[in-house]
Amino acid sequence: MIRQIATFEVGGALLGLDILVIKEVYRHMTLTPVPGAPEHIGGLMNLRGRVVTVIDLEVTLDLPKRSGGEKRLLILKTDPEIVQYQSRGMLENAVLGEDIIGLLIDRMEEVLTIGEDDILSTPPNLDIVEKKLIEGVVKLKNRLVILLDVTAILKLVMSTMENAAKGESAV
Amino acid sequence: MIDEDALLAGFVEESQQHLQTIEPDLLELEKIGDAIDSETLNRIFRSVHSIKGASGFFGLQKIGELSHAMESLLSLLRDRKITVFRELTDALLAGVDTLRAMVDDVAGSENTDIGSLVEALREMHDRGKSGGDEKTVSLSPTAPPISENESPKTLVISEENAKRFLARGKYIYSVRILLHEDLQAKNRTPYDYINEMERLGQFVDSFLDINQVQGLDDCLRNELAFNFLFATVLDPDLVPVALEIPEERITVYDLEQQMKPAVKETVPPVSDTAASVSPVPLPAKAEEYSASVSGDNQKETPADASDHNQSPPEKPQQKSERGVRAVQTEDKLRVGVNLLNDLVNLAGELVLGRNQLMETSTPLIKQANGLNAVLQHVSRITTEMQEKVMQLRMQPVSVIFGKFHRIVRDMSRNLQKDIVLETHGEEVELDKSIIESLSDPLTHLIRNSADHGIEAPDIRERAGKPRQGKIVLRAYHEGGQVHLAISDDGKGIDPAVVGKKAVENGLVTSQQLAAMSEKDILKLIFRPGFSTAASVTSVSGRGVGMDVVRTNIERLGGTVEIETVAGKGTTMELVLPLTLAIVSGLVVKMRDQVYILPEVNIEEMVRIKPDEVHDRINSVQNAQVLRLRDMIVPLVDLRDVLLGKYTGEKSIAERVQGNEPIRILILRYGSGRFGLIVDTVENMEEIVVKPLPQYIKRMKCFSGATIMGNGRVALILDVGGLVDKAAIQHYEDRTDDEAAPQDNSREGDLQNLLLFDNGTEERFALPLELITRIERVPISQIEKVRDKHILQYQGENLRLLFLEDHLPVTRPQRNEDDRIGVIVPKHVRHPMGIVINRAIDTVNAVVKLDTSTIMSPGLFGTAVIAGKVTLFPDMYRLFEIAAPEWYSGATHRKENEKKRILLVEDTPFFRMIESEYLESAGYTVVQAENGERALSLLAEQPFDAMVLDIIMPVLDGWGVIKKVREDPRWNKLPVIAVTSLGDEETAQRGIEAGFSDWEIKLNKTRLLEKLSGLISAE
Repeated sequence: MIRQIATFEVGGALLGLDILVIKEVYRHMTLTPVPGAPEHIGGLMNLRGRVVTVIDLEVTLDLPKRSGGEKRLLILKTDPEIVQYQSRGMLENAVLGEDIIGLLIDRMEEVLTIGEDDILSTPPNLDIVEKKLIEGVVKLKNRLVILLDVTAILKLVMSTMENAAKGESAV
Repeated sequence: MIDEDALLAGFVEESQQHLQTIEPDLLELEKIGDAIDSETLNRIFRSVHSIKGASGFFGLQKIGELSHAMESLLSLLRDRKITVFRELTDALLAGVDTLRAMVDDVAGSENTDIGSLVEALREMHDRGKSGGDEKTVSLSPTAPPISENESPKTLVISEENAKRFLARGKYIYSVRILLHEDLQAKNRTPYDYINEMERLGQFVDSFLDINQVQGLDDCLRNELAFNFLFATVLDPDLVPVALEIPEERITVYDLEQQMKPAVKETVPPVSDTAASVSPVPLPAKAEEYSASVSGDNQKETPADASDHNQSPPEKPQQKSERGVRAVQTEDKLRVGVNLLNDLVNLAGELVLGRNQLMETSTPLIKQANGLNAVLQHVSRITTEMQEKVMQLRMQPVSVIFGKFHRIVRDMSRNLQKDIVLETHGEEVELDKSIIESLSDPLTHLIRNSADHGIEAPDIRERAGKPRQGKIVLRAYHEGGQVHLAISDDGKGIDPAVVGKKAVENGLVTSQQLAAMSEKDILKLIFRPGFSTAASVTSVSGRGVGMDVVRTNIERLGGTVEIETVAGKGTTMELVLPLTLAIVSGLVVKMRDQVYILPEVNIEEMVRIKPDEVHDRINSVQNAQVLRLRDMIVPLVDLRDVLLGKYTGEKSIAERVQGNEPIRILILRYGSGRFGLIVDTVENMEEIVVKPLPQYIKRMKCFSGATIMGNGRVALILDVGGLVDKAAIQHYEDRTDDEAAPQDNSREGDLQNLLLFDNGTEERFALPLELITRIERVPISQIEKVRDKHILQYQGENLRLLFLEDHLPVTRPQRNEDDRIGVIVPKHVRHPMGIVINRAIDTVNAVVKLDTSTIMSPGLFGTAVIAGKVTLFPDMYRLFEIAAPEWYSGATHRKENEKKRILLVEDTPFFRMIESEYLESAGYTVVQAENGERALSLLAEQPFDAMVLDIIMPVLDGWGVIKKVREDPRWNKLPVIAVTSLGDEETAQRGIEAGFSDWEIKLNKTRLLEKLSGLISAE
């Protein structure tokens, strides 16, 4: 099966996501911080009247902080929006939730069209990003694209939030 | 196409609506009896009839059977063949209840036992029918007799009825419709279908062909046939078109031919009067026939009252000249709540978009010609549209008011009272979700009024009131909110009774109660654990207290107030927002971020100038409190709560340093309040509430989000969450003692206190009884011997104790040449002194000790004295802590451990102190707050000694000692009087009365010594 992978850069790493989970790339954003929330949450943003939860990928993936520079926001689709693909056997294991999520990235790169065979299992020596958050890697001529497992990332953020909330009540 | 579930859901929903309209009508019927107008009777009949008809579609036999029995009885009523009597309305109301229960649980409805009810209805029906002149005829060729337990499998029409129809030139058709083919496939519900039929003619009887049907599921799955009998003036040619049913499934019945089915080609029925109303020859075109039908209707209605008008009563305007079908859609349209909610959201976003548009384009107005007009236009339309959309979710309160008539009726029967309910303002509208959540609290309040408020008729008469009690339920708008008032003219709520109950239930102490205003006492009924019902009746007192009512109302952003006049009645007033989707909130700022505080939580705003901070804000341990009039309000800094750092003192200091005023919002939560410090307070705004994303939902401090005019997201603060997170535990109302009315005559109320300070902000107090004198000495006189500070005093080495060493208080700065005060206490074995800065005053004050806000060994607690938060050190305990070597052997803890002391003292302050003394000596202490309680404890448990106060409410020390000495069980029990009555004469009288010893209050050492002596003498 042919897949299209949108690649982007965060904290110096080249990352990729299936283009089917991406709704749009947003440029002008004003984030409202959520005090008390773990740093994983970059804040909340208004996207045409809907509240978007913004996830800071640098924190979530534990990538080096890149100071300054204008960021972009990768807006993800929600579960109802990917049902159509799932019924056709694509994105079968993806769970995106009902809320709109935005991922903070540094900049968009090219879109790759690849076959399923082009996705290689994660090499053991890859340590930029934790392995459970990775679906696989795609080899380019001179670079490696780390294909993110968006479901695992969202789960990680959710459980971090839950733990934080638990800690909150323990105070 | 409607799916099967939706079809059934539609049935349930519509049946519920019908039942809702029947009930008030039946109550009306009961009230005015035979004077009832035909319209109401028809309406009842119609509704039951519709339920019966529609239940047939689903094979719901029990519902069908019951509604059929009710319908038969109602038809006699409608035709004025029987008169209204009590059992009749009772049975019909019981029928409505049972039907409602069955409709609510459709799946289980077939298991409902309706036998006795149906029998009762039938019996009344049979009795009411004159003679038996009415023969029913079965129109099915293979008609089996109708058995009692079976619903009719054949179509039945009474001969009389059949003749009547035919006499009016109507045809009787038997129609067979298929559930899937004719309803589902055509997107119709059974109710739609029946309504439609009823406009064309009269629905006579129906049955579902259920030979193969096992249950409801089966019924929905299979292609079911529904047979019904239908009387109409429509020509056989037109019926198939009108009903949208294929010709072959429609049969014309011909009574003349003795119930033999006649195919539609056979001759129309002949009748003697047929000529006068003979059907007009109808052209086959649909649009024309419908017009003719409505014309015909109008002709018929006045002609025969019993043949009621054929459009459903809820829609009387349907009798228009134009076709009936067209009118229906104009009238009302059913829309799903989801769609409504989407619309509400979109409208909110539109408003937001408009605001942004206005903001960005205002600078351009001068350059672009005509832009302003366009903007104004868009703005106006947006506002209007938002208002209209919000109205979509609004429902009149009559939706819930209706059921209260029934509740009050049933209750007055059960309680044998005569109560009438008056409702006003049924048309007042509230958001659907609020209406739904209001039902339970209102029911509770109305039950309370009927049960506890309104007196029995005889009592009312004696009180000079009409025998009939009245409850008035009123809804009205005021100040952008909806007020709901429930008033009764009953006996009112007696604050004394409430107070007594609250003390009994341990909600307040008698001391606290004495200091409360009537209004505050009344508010006690909203506390958890309070119930005034003297006896739990079947009607109210179901374990749901007023606290639940208040919590529910507050959850909706509303408030509850009580007003009561003894003997005259009680009014409970609920104030509610119109809608939950838009709330009014205050915009506040914290570190450049904007937050919204819901207006309902805000009581007032306080601004404190930097130079007032010292007077207004007290720092106690690490907590800040604000003095606001007669209240002490705990303070929380929003920065600290949200950022999770608890540096309240520092942040206030920072603000004072920056010469900023402190802005405090006094917030109400539950029965308490607290002050929230924010950076700046902006404006009040109407905001559209959006739910929080899943990821943020668990965060306690926020209840929702909104989008501001500048397009940014702002979080809505949740006051309950802030309270939780800041761990403000003591936000219950605390008032100053001086402000409360006092009864100064009692010994226990007033304490003589020495107020002093330690060279810091904190204030301290000690009972004067404990103190011999206060010395003022220069610090240089203090000698330091190893780690001990010693002062030469009257030839003794007075060991000094510094409060800051043992209590959680601020450490003062002391200079070498300062003078300090030393408190020299009474009643100590070893010479010790407490170092203070200076004595401020001695006061005679009531102490309401708060023992939980600040807890520390050596501290009894805090109280507000002379307007300041004051710490009460436990002096003897401090000495024990400071000089353990002097005290370790002093008490016989081990021996005392098994000894049980009954401590009887009405003043909480002394009770606590004495109990502390006794427990520190190892005794097990049981406390009683008056003599009566003491005697009952004495009867229940064994005690080794009793410590008894003299002046107490209910039963004083003299009374107790008399009873104790009279009783052979206790006449040897050691009893020490501990009192402030110190004169010799009284002490002598005490010993004569039977006290083992007489001790003046608060000499710990002596008390313990005497007690130990008395017990060992035993």
